[in-house]
Amino acid sequence: MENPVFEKKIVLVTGGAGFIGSHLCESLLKDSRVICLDNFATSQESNIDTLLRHPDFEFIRHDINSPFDPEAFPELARFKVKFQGIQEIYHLACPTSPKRFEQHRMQTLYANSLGMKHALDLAVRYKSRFVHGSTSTVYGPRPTDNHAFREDEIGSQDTLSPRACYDEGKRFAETCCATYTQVHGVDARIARIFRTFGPRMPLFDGQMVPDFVTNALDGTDIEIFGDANFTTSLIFVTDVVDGLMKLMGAAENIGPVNIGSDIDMPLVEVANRIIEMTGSSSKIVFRDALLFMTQLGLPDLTKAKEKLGWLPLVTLDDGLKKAIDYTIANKTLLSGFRSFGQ
Amino acid sequence: MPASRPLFNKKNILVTGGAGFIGSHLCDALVKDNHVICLDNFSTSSVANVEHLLQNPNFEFINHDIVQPFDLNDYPELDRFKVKFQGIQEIYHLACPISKRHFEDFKIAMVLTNSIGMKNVLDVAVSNQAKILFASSSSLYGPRRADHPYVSESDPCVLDHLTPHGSYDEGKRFGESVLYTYQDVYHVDVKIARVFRTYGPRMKLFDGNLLPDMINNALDGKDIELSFPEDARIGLCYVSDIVDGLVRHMNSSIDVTVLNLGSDQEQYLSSVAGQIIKLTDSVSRVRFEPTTNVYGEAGLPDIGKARQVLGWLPLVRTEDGLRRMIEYARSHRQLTHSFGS
Repeated sequence: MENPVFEKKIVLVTGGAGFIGSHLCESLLKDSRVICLDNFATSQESNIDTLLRHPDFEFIRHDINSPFDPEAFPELARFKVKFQGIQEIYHLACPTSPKRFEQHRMQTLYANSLGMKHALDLAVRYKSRFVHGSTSTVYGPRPTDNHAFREDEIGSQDTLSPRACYDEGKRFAETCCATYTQVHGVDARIARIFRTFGPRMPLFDGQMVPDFVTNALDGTDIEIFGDANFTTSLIFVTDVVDGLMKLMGAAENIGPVNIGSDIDMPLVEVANRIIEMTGSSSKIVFRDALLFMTQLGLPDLTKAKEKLGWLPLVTLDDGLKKAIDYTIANKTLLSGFRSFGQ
Repeated sequence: MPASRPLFNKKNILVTGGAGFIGSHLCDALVKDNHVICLDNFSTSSVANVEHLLQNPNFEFINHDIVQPFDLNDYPELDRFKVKFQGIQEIYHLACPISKRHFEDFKIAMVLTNSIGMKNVLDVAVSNQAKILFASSSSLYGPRRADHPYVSESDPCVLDHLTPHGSYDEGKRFGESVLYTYQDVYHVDVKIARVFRTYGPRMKLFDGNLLPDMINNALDGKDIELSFPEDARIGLCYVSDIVDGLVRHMNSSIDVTVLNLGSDQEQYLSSVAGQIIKLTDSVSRVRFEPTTNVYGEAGLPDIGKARQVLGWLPLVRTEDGLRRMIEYARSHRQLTHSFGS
């Protein structure tokens, strides 16, 4: 790091009001000043409500698809960005919404090109270390032989599909990281995040697990978008945050790293666990599959384990319990989203 | 299909990258019956390629980098094409920096051209309700596979997007996805031509490209050194054939999207070199010095679909194409060489 670091490092989180982003901001605040950037495209102000009063936290409502100049915001003056710069950037901004995927196609394209450029330009300007929140979809759909994806698997995506703005867009975003590394020497690290769950996951948006919990508590039908063969791995959000921070903290850039759970689980079983844990009378029903909610492949975690000393720690049961507790605690607040989501 | 705008006597056609190798030949063909707006910023192209068109009343040149947004209504020189009333009907989008020798210098430009540049051109297509044809590349199929040398449009595109070449390869792939998304969202009529190895006059002579290098060496009486195995074979398509394919593709029906354009006739590299030596009356010898070719040769195109849908196939015989290219090299290489490009 070339800039002198004052008492605390300054960290920028794009998409910081999102599901994963808000948990990351929370963890970072333990020893950093956090600039949280978001435009609430598919995220919620409520995710960062509790953080807004924190003296080391500053929220900027800004769309990263437009260039971002931190020095132009008077509210950031107290962080002395002009002198201290920005030491770390976590770039997580990208709309994700299985149910409203169609509405966000253009924004998704922009996030993976314009937004990516603007975030990387900041890393060039401040010589910041950079972690890009990529996705398991860069590998392509779940392989027929069900092998776990290693980071050196080339992967393949259809460039001409309704999902291409996301699937191919995320591949292109990784290429932007690699190109900025090659040309400008940016230390851009790539985290390929697999299916994640936990508190603050958007409700009634086709993400399933958070809806399972709400429906189980209400005693209403639990909807699976797909059939009984839909299996998935699920990683709890705090494990992802831990992985992202370990990747940022690693001594050197080790190339793309998988962050996910390698335990495959039928969704029906997940739903049944939730029904059991909540003592619910809900029934499971099957609905047509969603374009943006598909079976994803599984990660090979060898690299994350060996190079980062990271592995998922929260068991599915513990994670589900936390998700259930969160839903109960926020039931009144969350019920407002039901009408919003539908 | 009824035209959404009244058609005037001539179509207005925008060609981005129109001063490039293929782009300038395309402008030559289109300018006969259309108004051609040639847009280029000369990042890897040359004004010499379109100099002869600058006096043509059907031709207008605009110096602009598509990474910056543009509005054709802002250019008074386009008033004579009545762009404000007639809009533009077709866009051939060929702009993308390409340089074998100076690849490193253009990586960021490639990434930006294929994303932000693509967006800016598509925004012009949307506001004009114009059809758009994108010159994509054979490179997005990934390297040639021994068990599967011919690639068709529906084959999976397997390539590593994190290599030093990713800015070009993955850039082109993302470019296609941007097009598809615009088609999906705005119902733009988009065409994607995946162009394979093309040669001909105006190909840059000193940029490390295979054929120009072979011709230069033959003309200089130097050995033709080939970093390929002796039995290497390539597909070669002459530029006028590609231009013909692009124009036919643009005029195909709305349901036609992706087509391969290139030659599916493999020839031994040694025989191509032999022809060049013969046509130049050279004393050069051919030497094969195989190296590990990191990026590999692209596959060969399966052009069955273009043949069927467009009634197109490459017609120019290699000997004729090489002869014209050699003529071009003879008359231009002293000139370009002395300018140090």
